[in-house]
Amino acid sequence: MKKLIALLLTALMVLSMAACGSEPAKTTPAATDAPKTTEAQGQTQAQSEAQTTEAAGWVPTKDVEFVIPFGAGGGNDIMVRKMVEIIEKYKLCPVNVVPVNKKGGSGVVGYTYLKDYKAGYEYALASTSASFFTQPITGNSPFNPDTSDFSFVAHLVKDPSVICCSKKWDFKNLDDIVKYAKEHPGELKWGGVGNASDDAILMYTLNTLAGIDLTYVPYDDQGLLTAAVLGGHIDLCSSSLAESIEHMKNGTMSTIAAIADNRLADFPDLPTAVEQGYKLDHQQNRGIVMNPGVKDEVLAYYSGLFQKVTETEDWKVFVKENAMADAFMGYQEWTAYAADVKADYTTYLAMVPKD
Amino acid sequence: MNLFQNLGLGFSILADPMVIVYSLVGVVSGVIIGALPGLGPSVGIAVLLPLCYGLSPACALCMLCGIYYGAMYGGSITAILINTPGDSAAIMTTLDGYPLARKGKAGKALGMACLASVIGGTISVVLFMTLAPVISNFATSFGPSEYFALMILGLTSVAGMTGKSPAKGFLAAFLGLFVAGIGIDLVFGTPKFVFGNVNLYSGIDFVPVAMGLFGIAEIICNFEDNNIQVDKDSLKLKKLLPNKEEWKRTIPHIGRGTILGFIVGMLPGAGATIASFLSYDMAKRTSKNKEEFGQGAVEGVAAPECANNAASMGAMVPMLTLGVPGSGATAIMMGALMMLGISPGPSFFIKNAEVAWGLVASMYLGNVLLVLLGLGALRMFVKILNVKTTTMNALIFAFILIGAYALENSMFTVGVTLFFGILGYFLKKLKVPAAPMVLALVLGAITETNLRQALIIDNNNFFKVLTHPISAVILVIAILLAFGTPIKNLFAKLKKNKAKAE
Repeated sequence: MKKLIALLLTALMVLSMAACGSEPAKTTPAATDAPKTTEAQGQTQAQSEAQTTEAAGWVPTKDVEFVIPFGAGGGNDIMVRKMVEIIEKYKLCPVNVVPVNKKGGSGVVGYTYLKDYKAGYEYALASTSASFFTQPITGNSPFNPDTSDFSFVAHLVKDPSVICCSKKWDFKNLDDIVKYAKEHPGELKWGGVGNASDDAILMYTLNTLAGIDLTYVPYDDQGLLTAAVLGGHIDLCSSSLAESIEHMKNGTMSTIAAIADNRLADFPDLPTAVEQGYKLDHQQNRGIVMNPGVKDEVLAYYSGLFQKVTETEDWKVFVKENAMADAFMGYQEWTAYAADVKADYTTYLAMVPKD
Repeated sequence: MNLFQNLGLGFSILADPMVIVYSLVGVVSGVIIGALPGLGPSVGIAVLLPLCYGLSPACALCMLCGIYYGAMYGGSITAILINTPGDSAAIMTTLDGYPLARKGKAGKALGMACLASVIGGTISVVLFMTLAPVISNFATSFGPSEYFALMILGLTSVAGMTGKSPAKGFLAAFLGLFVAGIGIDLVFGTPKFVFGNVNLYSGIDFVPVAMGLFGIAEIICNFEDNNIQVDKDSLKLKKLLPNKEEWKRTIPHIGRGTILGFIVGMLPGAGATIASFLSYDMAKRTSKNKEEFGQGAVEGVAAPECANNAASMGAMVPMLTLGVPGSGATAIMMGALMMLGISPGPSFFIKNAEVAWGLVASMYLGNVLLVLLGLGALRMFVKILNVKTTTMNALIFAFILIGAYALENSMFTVGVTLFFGILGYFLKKLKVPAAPMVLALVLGAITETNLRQALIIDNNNFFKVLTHPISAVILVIAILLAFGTPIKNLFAKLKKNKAKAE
């Protein structure tokens, strides 16, 4: 009897474990539903193909994997899962799109996973962030962020940021900072996440533009960086709105300049850096890539799919809530733009000292 | 007066029976998840997060907090019964909890862990309630140089875990420091010991290492070594509760451990694991029964357990008042709050007073539930030991591997866990303690990062780094702790010589 109870208990543990394993990724239900859906959709697809054989072009016939090269809960993860949610809600795609987190090596592990499928593979997508460009340029990734290693599907959003400063200073704008920095070289510290990141690029660009000498302090975690700026251990930082809008609104961090194409809706009185006369407009680009050599009609299909996603009201709300800037580009435009972005990163990263 | 009004507001939220139900759901699932090796509070919260969609903020928050402190206690159950910490904050509990269980006092150890957790939790709720709105800035007064000093203090506690041979303890600590050095350098982006393997770029996390060193190594050793027997009589409620003498022994340690845990928990990035390490070390140093530590001292169970629960409460302070999450679990919780339309930050206690004080009230409730569940369901937990060793080992092995995979969705972490499992087995055979290795791994990476940041901030002036007021005080304490006995001996010798000379 006792043994039975004990066994039941352990069985319960196993069950709860199984539940733990499947829930976050949500892959199990998707996988079991898959055959049904494909079958049903297969019929409608056959019909639609019959109706518009030429216009329809390529359509997926099995589940699509969407590789997120970062951990669950990060900005990239939230964005991809939102897109998948919208695709499911409006039934935009005849098959399931299944998000898969593969984190590690600042995205390199995820892209390695993508590239394990052969060139031209049509059922795996991956999201990009700054590290898609920075890792290869700093020599920490074997993949080139261009058409030799990837096909470019669609560009989705840019991430505007705000240059903030600790409350211990009463700098009002970039000119104040530049003036002080010229009188006190090396004194002001700028904190950022990572050593060759967008944060670092902004600071080194400002150093070059204004001929000043700010010192970069790398952090491995945004939360710790925020705490360091609040405590006055670090003087300046650039931060996305999503990360520290509360502090900017409460005045626990002073806002200096917006890094964006236009003024931010949340801070209409904060001039952009460009308005202040400094050509600082480098923003993170978030897009979607696939393996190289994917046919144009396939790229056109996915590009169209994500265009539909970005046109929904849900997406617009999401972009606004996360303080991103909508910047949809189709596959041709994104392919050309990615080349520019790569060139920009190469120039900017040359400013980051190696040792 | 204001405080009681606010608290009244908080408790009025508890009048909704659904809040109590969700809190109970949270605590129960927290204890279960916490007990599974490798799955700690952050995984628990992440897994159950989807359940929060559509709940009222109060219900959701109560449930999430329930999971949080439920998991903190749950981790100790497997630590005590099968020497496999359910999460990293329970590593220290194995040191004395498991020996107690082997002596047939599993019930006593579990009871102590539960009560210590609850007392630690309750005291820190009071601290949280009275201090959170006031001391939120404390967390930010710690910059890189202060963290560096704190981590050095933490590293001195290796001395408390070395067991019989200090040399072997330090060997383990240096192995841990070496593993902590793996990964891409934060400042220059240079790869260190990665040998071109992209999986090593972000370094080796201590969770798979701890699962391997403690969990898998224990399973392998279990094949050679037989099971623990539990005396049925010892599971009666009366026997679970510590007796007068044990209370007398543990209460001061619980008090100190709680305050220490709360303070360490408040510092972003330090967290419950480090709190439990420090608290155990402090208990060992200040206890009158030093020699019993490691052999099954009740203080050795109480001290880390109260500290990790207090730290989990402390971590809520910077999360709620600054929007700076201090640990993985609070980071996910903050995400959940934002999902519910609440942004934690400087104005949280003013703008969302109802939610804030409801949360405080739910913490009291959660602690009551924890003590009821902990003591009431103990007999059930101990049933785990009735399962045949071979069956149990297979199950735990499966849990560990699944947990390892779930950490990063990657087979690489499974490999890391297995590697350290085998290494752990050999260390066990060679009588090299594993705890210092994990401690050094946890602290080593933070130490390095903060030292380098501090050096950049102070323009590479090492002396300046060491002489920030808070860092200097902490470093002096660290030196006294590390070299206290030799210094005392030296003075005693000098005095003796002087007396002789006269």
